Amino acid sequence: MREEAIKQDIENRFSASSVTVPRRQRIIISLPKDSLFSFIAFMKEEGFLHLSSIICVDWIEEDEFELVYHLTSFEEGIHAMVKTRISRTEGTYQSMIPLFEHAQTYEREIHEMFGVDFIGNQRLTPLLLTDWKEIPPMRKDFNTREYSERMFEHE
Amino acid sequence: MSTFMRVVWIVTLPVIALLISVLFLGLFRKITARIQRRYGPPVYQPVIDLTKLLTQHSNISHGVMFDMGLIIALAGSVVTVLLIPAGGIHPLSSSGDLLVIIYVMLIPVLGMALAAGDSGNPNASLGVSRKLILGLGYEVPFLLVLLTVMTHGETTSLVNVVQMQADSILSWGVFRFPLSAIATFLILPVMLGIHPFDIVGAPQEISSGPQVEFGGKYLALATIEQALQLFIVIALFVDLFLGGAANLGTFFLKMLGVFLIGIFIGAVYPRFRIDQALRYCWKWPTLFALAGLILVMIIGG
Amino acid sequence: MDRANIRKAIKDPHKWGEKYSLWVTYFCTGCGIMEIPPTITARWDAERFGVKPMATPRQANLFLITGYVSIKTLKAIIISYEQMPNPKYTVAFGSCPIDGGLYYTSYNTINHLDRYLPVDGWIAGCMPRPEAIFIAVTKLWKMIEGGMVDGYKRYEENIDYYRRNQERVLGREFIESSPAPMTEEP
Repeated sequence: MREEAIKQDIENRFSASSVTVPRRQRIIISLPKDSLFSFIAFMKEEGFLHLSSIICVDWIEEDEFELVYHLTSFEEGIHAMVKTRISRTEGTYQSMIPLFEHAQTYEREIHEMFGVDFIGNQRLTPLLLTDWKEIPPMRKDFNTREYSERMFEHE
Repeated sequence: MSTFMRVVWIVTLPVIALLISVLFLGLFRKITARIQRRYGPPVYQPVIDLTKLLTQHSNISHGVMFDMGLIIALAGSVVTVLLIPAGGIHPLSSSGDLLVIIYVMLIPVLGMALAAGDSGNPNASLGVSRKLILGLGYEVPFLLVLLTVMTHGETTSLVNVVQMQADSILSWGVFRFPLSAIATFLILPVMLGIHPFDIVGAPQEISSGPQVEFGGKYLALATIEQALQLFIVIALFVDLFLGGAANLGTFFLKMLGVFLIGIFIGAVYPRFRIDQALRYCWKWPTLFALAGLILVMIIGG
Repeated sequence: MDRANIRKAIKDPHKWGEKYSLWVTYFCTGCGIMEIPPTITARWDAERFGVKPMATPRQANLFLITGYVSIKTLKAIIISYEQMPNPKYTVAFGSCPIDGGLYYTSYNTINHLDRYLPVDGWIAGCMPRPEAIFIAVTKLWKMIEGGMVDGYKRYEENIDYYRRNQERVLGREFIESSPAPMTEEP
């Protein structure tokens, strides 16, 4: 199986990573944030040429943000999810623009919705929200019901 | 025709033309709906629409030219209606000059272009440019057809052309110069601006083109102007190829026939792009018109 | 329906025209626009009531707010509404413009449309069926007949109230850039 071969390959080269193959055509890789950039560069060489999406998850109890990079290989038909955790209080991470130029828009959205700063991204300007003055709305500590009632139910 | 009768007809003919063309608009909507298996609005729906538009308050004007352009367009249409013999009535011209009609028919287009251009909306400018390009497309075969008719009858008078066809059905223009008739019929939907050539006012592409900034009374005037255009083009076809008519009743019936065929074509087609329409206009209609002209020149009048 | 009643039409052509020729602004604000294509095509055929979608707000006199209204859409809705010629009617379609509906707690959809625009009629439901649009249209006819549809007048009279609420959501900049709606004597 091709997935297992890739898993072996990854485990040999990046010892800190944990790799699972939940089903055919899926690989989930978790690894510390220091080695993520070099890992994605390695995956790109392996044939994972498409960065489908970048997702941010707010783990407020652990005080961490989880960044998930979705990579796709068109040749193998494999979808790899690369996960890493960054500190929530610090909230900065390295930009993926040197590897995938279109990561700019994803990072811009995550910056707007979660407040994560991507070092190296020059264009972290507002994308979807207008005149936003509160904390970023997708953070778990943002009370959207309270905001909605204060903003729209003010009479 | 006495001077008094002439004045009476100058006043009434545009009104009759307007009634006929508004009826045509209603028929157009009803028959299209029936073809598309819908129930459709009542035939008098355009009257309701025009009543509403005329009683609405327009809350904006875009300048003097915006107001004047529409009036110029409407005046041009009315003058053209008066120049075209309709059922033996031709109040403005005893010698109804085809050359004058060619020039006067351009005035409504220019008026609309002025009004739409003054609104400053990019969609309006797009619509006007499409209208002028489309004009470039159908003018070539249309002028060739008119040249054929003029060469054949050795006259530039539309009244004489109608009189020439008055003898019997076989002397109708359709049988005298069939190729030119085919060419004109092919560009008829282009001149009427119905499907598949409603490129100028395409609502889904450029938000109804030149009319994009018109509302209320402006839209009412623009609709009336378009309705008169419908009358002019069909009346011209009837006069040139279907022998005109001795009275208004027969004339109306002949116009209705031409219009119904136009609807049946229009109701089932989607829309062409502007480049496709131009290519269409310069291909088959021009070819037929040219062949008709050459044939008439060889055989003679 | 007294559309063919000639005596009534001649007596009050203004009302006759307004009632039976409702032209809708073709503006999809949200998911409710999915109900409009079946409404205007062969299955339900809105044209038999004189209801027709128009490409630009300048030509239309009925505004169907179809579905939830996000803040950016509200900006466009207000601009379009002020471009429509008087008299104009607004009908909110679906439960989201009424009180927020499914998106009550959302941070970027407004909850009550009638705080920002005058609304003449509501169609509740998620989604309302095309028949509901026709019921709304026939109700609107009755209201026009009785002279009860005065949304555009209310907007001009209470413009301060509406502008205050709009400013709260859309910001000072938007309010300053939009001119006051033109008040006109009939």
